[in-house]
Amino acid sequence: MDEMRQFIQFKLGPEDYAMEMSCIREIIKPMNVIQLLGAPKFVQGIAKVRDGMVTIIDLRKKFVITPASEGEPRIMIFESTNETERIGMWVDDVVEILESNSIQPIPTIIHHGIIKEVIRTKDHIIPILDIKQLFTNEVMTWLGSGDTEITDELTAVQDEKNVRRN
Amino acid sequence: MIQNYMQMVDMIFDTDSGKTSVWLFDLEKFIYIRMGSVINLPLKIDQPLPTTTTSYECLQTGQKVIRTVGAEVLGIAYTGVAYPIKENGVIIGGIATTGSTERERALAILPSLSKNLSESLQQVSAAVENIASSAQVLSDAEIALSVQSEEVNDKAQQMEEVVEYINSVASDTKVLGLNASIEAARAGEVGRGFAVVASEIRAMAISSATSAKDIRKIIVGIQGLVSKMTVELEKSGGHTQEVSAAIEEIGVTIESLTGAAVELAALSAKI
Repeated sequence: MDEMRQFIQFKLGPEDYAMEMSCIREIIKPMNVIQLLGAPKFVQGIAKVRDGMVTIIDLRKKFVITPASEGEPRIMIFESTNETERIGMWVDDVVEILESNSIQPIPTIIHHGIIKEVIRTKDHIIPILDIKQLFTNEVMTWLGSGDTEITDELTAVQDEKNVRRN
Repeated sequence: MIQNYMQMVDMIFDTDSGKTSVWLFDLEKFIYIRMGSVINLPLKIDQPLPTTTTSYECLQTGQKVIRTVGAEVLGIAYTGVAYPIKENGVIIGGIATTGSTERERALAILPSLSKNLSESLQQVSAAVENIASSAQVLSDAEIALSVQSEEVNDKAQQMEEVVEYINSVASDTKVLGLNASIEAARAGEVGRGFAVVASEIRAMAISSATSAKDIRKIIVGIQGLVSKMTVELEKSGGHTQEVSAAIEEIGVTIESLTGAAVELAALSAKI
């Protein structure tokens, strides 16, 4: 048996995702977000949380996810060592805290490995968003770019991996 | 000669438009009969006079005989009148009539009938007035019910606001529980106990939210029922108005009937 890991299960649009709980600093209710001129589309803006400032990103914009009509929208603020680089992600609902030890890796065809593993529950499979991967320079560049399609870069990465496998 | 009086029989018969039967008889038998349309006695020409008849009696007494027979005998009341006919002081026969007394009877009861009619109409009039006032009460009650159902709606609305508040508290509590869990996880082994508390808080928040949702469903149900009730009330209000209108019409009709009854009473007094 693998070790029990704790996740936070949330929704982007109608789909459920999970994120390692240790990556999350705090969950807050939606608040007034100030838009930033010139920021990429997926950056919703900045918001004042207590004494600090949090940059809010909205992955739905990038992945073209229709916002859910049900649920209570929340902002999940990520753990960060740098107080000035605090990032929060807009989600359509925080479902629950999930404890699981049935984690399965998935083939790395997912773009830039944002999702590497899934949690198998009784009835579902919930993809785990890898926060560390999400904020690599490479992914940040892609997030900032205009495409919504799989990029050549990804195809190149895949090819490379296939080559390695063979 | 008794036969000389036959013409008189015809005259009397015609006077009453053929309703009254007229009989001519000599000392023993009927010699001429004009049978009226109303009274039909089983007596024939040349038949010996039955001893029960007024004819027979007047011959016996030499006096006029008037006898009233009730409706129980022939189904219709009638009066028999018999006069002896004398020539040179000697009775040679007689003439008799049997005529219906229905008209007299009718005339006798007409005043009381028209009085009854008037009284009945008065009673109906009073009853109609009662119905009219009942309809008014009904209409007032409907209006009151309408207002009250509006109030129920308002209360449901207020309840919804309270539920909304409960819901927002539950939602805040859930966030609090989640953050408590996150915090407990950060504390590691030390935070174990706190993690249990945090998860209880989340469970509580979820069950509060569920209850709030259930209450909201019930409120929506109440509002649906109230709006149905309002529709029914409107319908019944329409009916009540129709009833009121009908009652008014009946009132007018009764008034004219009462007028007719008064005229009838006056008329019957003249006959």
